[in-house]
Amino acid sequence: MNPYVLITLLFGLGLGTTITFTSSHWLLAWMGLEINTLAIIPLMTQHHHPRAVEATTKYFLTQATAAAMLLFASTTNAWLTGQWEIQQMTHPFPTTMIILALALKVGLAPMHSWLPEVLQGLSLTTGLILSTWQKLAPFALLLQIQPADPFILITLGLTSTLVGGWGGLNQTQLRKILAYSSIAHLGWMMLILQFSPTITLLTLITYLLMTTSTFLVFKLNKATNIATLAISWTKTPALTSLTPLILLSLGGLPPLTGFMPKWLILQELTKQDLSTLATLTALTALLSLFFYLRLSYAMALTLSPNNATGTTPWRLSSTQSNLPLALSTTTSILLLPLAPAAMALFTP
Amino acid sequence: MTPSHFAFTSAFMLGLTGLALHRYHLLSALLCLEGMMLSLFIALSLWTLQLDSTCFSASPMLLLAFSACEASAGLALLVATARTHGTDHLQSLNLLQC
Amino acid sequence: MLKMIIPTIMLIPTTWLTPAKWLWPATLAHSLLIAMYSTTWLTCLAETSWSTLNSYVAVDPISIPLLMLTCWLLPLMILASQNHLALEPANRQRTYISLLTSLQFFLILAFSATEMALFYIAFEATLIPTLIIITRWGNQAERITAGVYFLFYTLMASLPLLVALLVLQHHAGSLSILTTQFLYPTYYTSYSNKLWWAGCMLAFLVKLPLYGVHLWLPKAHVEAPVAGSMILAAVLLKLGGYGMMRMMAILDPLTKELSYPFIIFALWGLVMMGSTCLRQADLKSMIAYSSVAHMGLVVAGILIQTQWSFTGALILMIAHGLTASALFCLANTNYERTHSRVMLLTRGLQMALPLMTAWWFLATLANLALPPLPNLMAELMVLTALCNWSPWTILFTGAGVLITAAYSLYMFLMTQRGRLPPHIKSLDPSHSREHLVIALHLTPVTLLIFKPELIWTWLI
Repeated sequence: MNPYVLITLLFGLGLGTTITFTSSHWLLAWMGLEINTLAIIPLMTQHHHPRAVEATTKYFLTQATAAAMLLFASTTNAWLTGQWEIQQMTHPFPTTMIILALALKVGLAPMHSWLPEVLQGLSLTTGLILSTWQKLAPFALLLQIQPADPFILITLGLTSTLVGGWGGLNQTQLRKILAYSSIAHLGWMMLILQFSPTITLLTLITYLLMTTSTFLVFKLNKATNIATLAISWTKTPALTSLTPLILLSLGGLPPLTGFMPKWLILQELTKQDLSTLATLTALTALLSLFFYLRLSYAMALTLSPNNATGTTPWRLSSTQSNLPLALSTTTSILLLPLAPAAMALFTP
Repeated sequence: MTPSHFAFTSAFMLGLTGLALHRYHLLSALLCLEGMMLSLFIALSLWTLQLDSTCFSASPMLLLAFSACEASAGLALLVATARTHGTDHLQSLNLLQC
Repeated sequence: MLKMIIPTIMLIPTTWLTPAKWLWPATLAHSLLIAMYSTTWLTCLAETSWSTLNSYVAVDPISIPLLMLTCWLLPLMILASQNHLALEPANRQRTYISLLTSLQFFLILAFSATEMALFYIAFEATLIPTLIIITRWGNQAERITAGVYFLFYTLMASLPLLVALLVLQHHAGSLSILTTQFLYPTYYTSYSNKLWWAGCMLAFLVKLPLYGVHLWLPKAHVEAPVAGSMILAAVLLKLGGYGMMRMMAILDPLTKELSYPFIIFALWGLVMMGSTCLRQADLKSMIAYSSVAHMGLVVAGILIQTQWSFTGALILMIAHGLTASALFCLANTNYERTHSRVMLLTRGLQMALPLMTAWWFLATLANLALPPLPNLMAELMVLTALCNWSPWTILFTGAGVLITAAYSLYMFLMTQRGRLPPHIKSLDPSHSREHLVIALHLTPVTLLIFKPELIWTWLI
């Protein structure tokens, strides 16, 4: 792709999210989301491959629908209450519709089926942008509206954790597994959204760190399925031995970073006398843990039988910068002792 | 609910229903999206008219501009799909399913 | 406490910076120094309650024996693993020792935590190193299943524990072990409180394990390399018992009505697991089932909550930790020579390795609780307390003790006595390293005969 075009598109991505962040008016927020979508579509189709085009088409349809629903809900809100402010949503109907539209936009169950397919069609870099940067703008909006009915958020959250765990169980494609892991994590964020937006933000940030390091590891190994991952020890032995920790951190095992958001969420849920819900959610996390564990097994904890040609794939020395990988890996493993500092950082 | 409110709401809902349930051609999906956008355009224009002030009058134009961009992106994707898949049937977009 | 924790952490740089030639001696010496230094905790035994208290960690007479056991086990594991890691590349050997070290670090944290949240994190944190040891250095393909069983059994039970702890924190305002035992017991009758009780107990019962939720243990033991089996049998199971002892103080009024099914399972498990041992063909799996049977006594002892039974359970945990670990070492010496765990194939070893037979004999006698050994002391205390609680339990405990003696002797006779089978042609002679490992296991057991108050100070 022409570098000028690439820079324009990347600026478009940044601009869209920034506009959504800074807007207090629904129309402007919608415009930010649209700029975002329009900027990422050429990035997604830059390789003119049937899978990429198909993924882009699916992404375009869902995002356009979600954005239209969002604007329709805010217009209805204006007609009903005369209010365009994001933080002044009072009528339950538009609020519910906006939550559903944003859930469609980030891919929460039961509006999740586009996410694994779209992610599967993209390159790992674009997939990384899609599962990190593209989540920020919708979450900025979700954090600002006050939901009318707690039931809908809890249903969305619980379904997402369940579907995210269940769906990833029989996948062998890494990008689909990461998509389902994203669904499960977003479910956790939705569960806590109405009780403590601070923890939602913290969960989002830790999730972004962990998923970034996972994507970067896969990108370094040029791995898109489990079988390729199984020979990564021939290329990057030290990283291969660290990756199980990153994966188990995504799964939320103490003493890794991934346990921090889960701990805080469960604590907040029990404070709201929702211990049954907390237990259920904690147990659905085990479903996700199973496929992370399988990835760790395939990658580092067993040596799969390979023939000599299988273990020496053609490769060039990587030109990828190691700093982001090192930073995100360190933070996604070792952040748990800093939990109080992290909480203090995000408390408004 | 005023009649005009009802009119654009039902227009939007019809478009949404068509997008959700009638999944044969990609072109019809894009048309439904465009219909949804136009109903939103009507909604915003009516809102501006009701308000009797100019401070919000640019909004329908903005919406129209964005929806035009979106429609053109959609049509570009339609062309790309036709070239890679040989058809614009939504059913044929099945390479990525598992 | 930092005097123990910092040297333990510094063992990791020692591991990675020592030249490969000196890797094993250096780590061994370092860990032995830590173990020696841990004996300074014995001076704290004179005080009846918490000592070396700071805001996060402290020791008391319940945790001191377990902490010393933890510190004592690390040099033994390093000694025992030398042979089967000898052919691995140096970096993998270093990773292995680092994992063992991290395990010791988390165990020290778990046993000395004064806050249930810290205890929980350390309790869970031991999972990852153990999982990696089992699945990365295990021998058969079944180690994958064993790892999954190990992880998911433990997590399935300990996530409810986390929620239960958070509920407790919400109601009591604190999770400190120092203060929560003085809580006014407010949780009485309602259904959810019973669930809360079960949530608090289940994780530890699975970890111990109780009969019925024990299936992960034989798998993990059989598949793990020798150090994994040793630490699992000696210390990791005891985390469950330790956690139960700590939680009991908080759960008090509910336990009296809710503990019956668990005591029944524990006693029935004592008999059943013993009977399972009687027909085992696999040596390591037999030792693992014997651990389950012994832990049944610990569960029953802790659940009836008398002073004698608590003390008996604590002594049993220590004595069984050393004995089971020694047995796993012995099984491993056989395995390294014959490459088989099946007892039918490794018989009559007295002819080939006569001095090893002496160690087998001692370890077996310790396992079946011969009179002066602390194992017998422990069993007698638990049995007496149980019999006092309900005379009918003598049926199960008596049968259990009898069967324990039977399968221990069966194990000894099968592996040591009789003719050497013809397929065993040339065995390596036993190394002095192996004798040293077993001696270092069995010497503390023997010496505890003379000064048992080191592990029962808690009674006084």
